[in-house]
Amino acid sequence: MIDGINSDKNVLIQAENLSKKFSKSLKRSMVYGAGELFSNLIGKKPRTTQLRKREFWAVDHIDLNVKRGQVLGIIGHNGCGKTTLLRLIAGIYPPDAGRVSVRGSTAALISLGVGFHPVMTGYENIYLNGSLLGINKKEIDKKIEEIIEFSEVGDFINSPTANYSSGMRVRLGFSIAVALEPDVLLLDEILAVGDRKFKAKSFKKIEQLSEQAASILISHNMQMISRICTDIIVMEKGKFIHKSTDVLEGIEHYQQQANVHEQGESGTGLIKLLNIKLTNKIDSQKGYWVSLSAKDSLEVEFSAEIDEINKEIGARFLIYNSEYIVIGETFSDKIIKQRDLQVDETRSGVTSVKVGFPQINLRTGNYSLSLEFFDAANNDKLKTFHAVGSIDVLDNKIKRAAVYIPSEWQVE
Amino acid sequence: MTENKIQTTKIFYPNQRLSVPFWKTWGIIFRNVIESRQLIWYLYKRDFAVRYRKSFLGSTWILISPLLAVVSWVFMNQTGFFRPGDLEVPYLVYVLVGTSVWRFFMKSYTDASKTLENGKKFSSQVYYPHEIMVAEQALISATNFSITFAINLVVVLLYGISLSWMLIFFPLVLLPLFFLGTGIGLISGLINVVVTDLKRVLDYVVGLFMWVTPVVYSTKLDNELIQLIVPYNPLTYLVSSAREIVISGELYEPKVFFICAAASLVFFLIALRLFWVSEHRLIERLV
Repeated sequence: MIDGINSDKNVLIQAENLSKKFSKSLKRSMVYGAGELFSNLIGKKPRTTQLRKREFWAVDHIDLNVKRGQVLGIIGHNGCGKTTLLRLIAGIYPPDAGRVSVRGSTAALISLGVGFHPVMTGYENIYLNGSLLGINKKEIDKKIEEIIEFSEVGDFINSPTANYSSGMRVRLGFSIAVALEPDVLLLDEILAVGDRKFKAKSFKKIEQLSEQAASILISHNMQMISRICTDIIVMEKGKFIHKSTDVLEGIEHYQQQANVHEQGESGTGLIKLLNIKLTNKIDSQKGYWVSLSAKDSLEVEFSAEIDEINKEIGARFLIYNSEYIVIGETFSDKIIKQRDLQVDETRSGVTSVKVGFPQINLRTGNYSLSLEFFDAANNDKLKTFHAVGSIDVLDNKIKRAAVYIPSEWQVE
Repeated sequence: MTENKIQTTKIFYPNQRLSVPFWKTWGIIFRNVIESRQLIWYLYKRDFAVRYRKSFLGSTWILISPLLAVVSWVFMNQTGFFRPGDLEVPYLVYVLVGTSVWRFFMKSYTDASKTLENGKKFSSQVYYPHEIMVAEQALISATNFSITFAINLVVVLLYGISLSWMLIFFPLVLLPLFFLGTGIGLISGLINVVVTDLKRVLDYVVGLFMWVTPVVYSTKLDNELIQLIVPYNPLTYLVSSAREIVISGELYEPKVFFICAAASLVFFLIALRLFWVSEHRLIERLV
């Protein structure tokens, strides 16, 4: 019972049926706007719950609860409605249907350094930006030293922000925003900026703040999502298509349907891929998608039904980067040898293979795997299965090149 | 302390502001302005600093521009191109005070009409009550005008015209012009978001009103058309009263002035309500 009350009190963000529509055509949007302005004038409430011509739901009847201490990651393609949802929660846009309630102080970090004026000094801008975010002067006075120190702008604090590098501006903006120690923290892709050292620092700060707050984090950085979030939602066309407390599972779901490289098959060979699974040997993460660091080992298991008679079959993995460039390959000439075929006349045709990658050796990024079967005799492609797996390499061990070449160094 | 923070729950739902009764609107706006006074002050400082920090003459521009504005009028008057009608004071004094008052009205209009446009940069990034922009602009134009007005007084005194104690009511007499200008400006700003063309027309029309208002000429100007329009133009009473209280210490047709002043206030309050219920829906259409 007490538990029930507590949990209710701790729900800081609550959305029911929350929706927002936009118009695809600018002219029409203006016409609708003019119509609404007129009905406002005569005091009539415009009907907002129906779609008019050329309109679509940017946020489509969404239910959401976020409790204190929860960090909800929202992932999805550009334009799936993530930022609009955040703006609805922050109160920047009024909803068209449903409702949203937010308890406590809110910090919506949709962009940093809002209202910074280039002619004014960093110091002056802290007060301006801070009060725009709803921090009063007393609080800023108390925290100004902390803000300046955190931002690492140093002596520049007394120069106009026009003289700042873009990184400095962002750092200062971030430092102000986090000084608020909000109950509700809305973060929109804001940590995609700044140098690595500051990124790590702000990351820590967010982690620390989110313990006391109900947070929503939007990012395309799966590493961050998987590290920081307690819950995950995959959004598509304004709707939640996947909801889970298993963050890795959610990311996998997203990667699977969001893969830039379309899944599918090509070729005419009589080969069927029955299943394929990637395993990260470090923490035994398994499935279509794994995340690992460059020096981790990866294992791929697959089984295929191969009905090509009297051929020696080879298999090849192609690794594509996110720009769809083949960055690496590995193959085995003969996964099925002539000899095997002769021995086992009654074989079911199912072949199971385990491929081990001792080190993945790729630089940070998202990669997709394709599996290709070929005729070992003449290297003719028989069948290709595109995007059968997805890998996120997380660390920054490889600095400059696309791949790491294993080598042995002897210093004498 | 945390407990205290929890108390504030914000709820957002469709047509929220339209559900607020008419008479409550102004209370809410007033409260928002009071609560955000800090922010208004910083925005005010920012806009003021920005305007003058980059220029060498700095704030002296506020002193110079009203004088520059009347140069052409005085020239035309001196050369005899332009006869403003019977005046009790030197033309320079008349036109200086008149144009200052008119410029205050026009400034109220243009500032208010740009409220949404100016806030565009951060209105889609952060939640804050947008009505405070109106308050901030009012503060700026009050500051600018008081400097201009000081110049006016110096000139008036130099011409040996004695000032009346009625002058202390001057700010109050000026207020209806602020209400009227801001009211039209707010509506114009809303319209601008959805029908840009209409705002251009409106800008032009409001500007044209200077010619049917006794600003650079006297109310006694001997011209049939002028005499036909001027008595029915509420600006005649608002502008003339503001000028007359400086020059002669009296209101121009006090009865009509008070009616026009009251009407301006009512109009302003209605415009403010319309602005308040519409602006947050128009923000998303700002492009």
